[in-house]
Amino acid sequence: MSFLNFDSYFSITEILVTEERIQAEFEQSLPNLGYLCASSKKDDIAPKTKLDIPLWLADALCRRGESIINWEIPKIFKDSYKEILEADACSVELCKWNQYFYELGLRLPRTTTDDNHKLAEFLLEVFKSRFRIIMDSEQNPFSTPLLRGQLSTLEKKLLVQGNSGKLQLLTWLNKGVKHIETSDVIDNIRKRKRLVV
Amino acid sequence: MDPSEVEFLGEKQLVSIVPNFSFGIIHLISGSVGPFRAGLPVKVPIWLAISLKQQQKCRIIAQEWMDIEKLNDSIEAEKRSKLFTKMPSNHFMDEAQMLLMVAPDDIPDADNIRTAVKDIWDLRMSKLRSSVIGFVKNAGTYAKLDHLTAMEINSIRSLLPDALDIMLHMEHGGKPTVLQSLNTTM
Repeated sequence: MSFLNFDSYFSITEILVTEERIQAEFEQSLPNLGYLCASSKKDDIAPKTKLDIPLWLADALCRRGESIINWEIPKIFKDSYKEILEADACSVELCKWNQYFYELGLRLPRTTTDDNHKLAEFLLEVFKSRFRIIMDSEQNPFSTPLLRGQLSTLEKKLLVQGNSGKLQLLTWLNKGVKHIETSDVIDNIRKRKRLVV
Repeated sequence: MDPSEVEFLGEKQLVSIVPNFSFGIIHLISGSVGPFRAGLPVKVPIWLAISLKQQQKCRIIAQEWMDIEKLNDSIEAEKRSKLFTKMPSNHFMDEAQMLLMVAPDDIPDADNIRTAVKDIWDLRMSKLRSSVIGFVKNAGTYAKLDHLTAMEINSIRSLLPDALDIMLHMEHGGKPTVLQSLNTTM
């Protein structure tokens, strides 16, 4: 199972990530869609209107042959925020910027491949330097709740998995020789049989 | 993988016992053990040794490396070397854990051996942690895992492979990697 593999229609992560709104500017007029823009009373959306639309919509509008919108990169991926991360990635509370920081960065519509590649490279650098926090707090499975605000969802998932592994190792070290437990599947089969009888 | 599963693999290692009963050869899928002659040492897998010991049918002879001086030498070597040093057994931690738990009375100096083994384990674990952090940070393309024992490799299994997977994903800019597209076509 892969943590970042969410290119599936039913992936909950994908749905949550693409819910994020990004700023877009319409290039063409859209008849009868004026209700999307709460502040205008016109029936149509005029060209050059700026609107925050969810990523899934922006993505679909970008994919068409002629571009209907011009979208702007979210501010957390802009240079000023990049500088903060470059200065010291470990002390940033990534969770407050965006729960799905990495996923969002990778999911943004592709404009120029070069730009996207740079962003992905940048995310990789951030992840690499923040990996230390995960590694350190993995050592202590009874982790402090303070840390939870600092990590993004992806990092949290990784940490939870690491912690459970560590916990298993600790119990093994304390208990020593013990019986290997029956797998859940086998247990359930027995229960099912009992139900049938 | 659960540590007890690694321990299960470690149970296949051989250990000498002195049985206090006589019995013919037992033929098992993994090989034959015995014959048992009362008072004569014989090599058996650890799982059998533990079971016989619990029934008080044998005395376990400590593994050759379970010697406080040899272990202290290993500790020193481990401290001096930047890399991992060779351990006497690929399952030294689990073997020590099992044998010392079941037969502390048969192994001379059991308490000191337990402390020494734990010392080596702690040293190697901290070495492992710092090398993993260095590996991720400097984006090494490969890691040399010489002399790492099964239990140690298993201890980073819950974190490292997934972290590397995430990094690979980011390196490819979120596009499906070669491996994944292979998987889908198969």
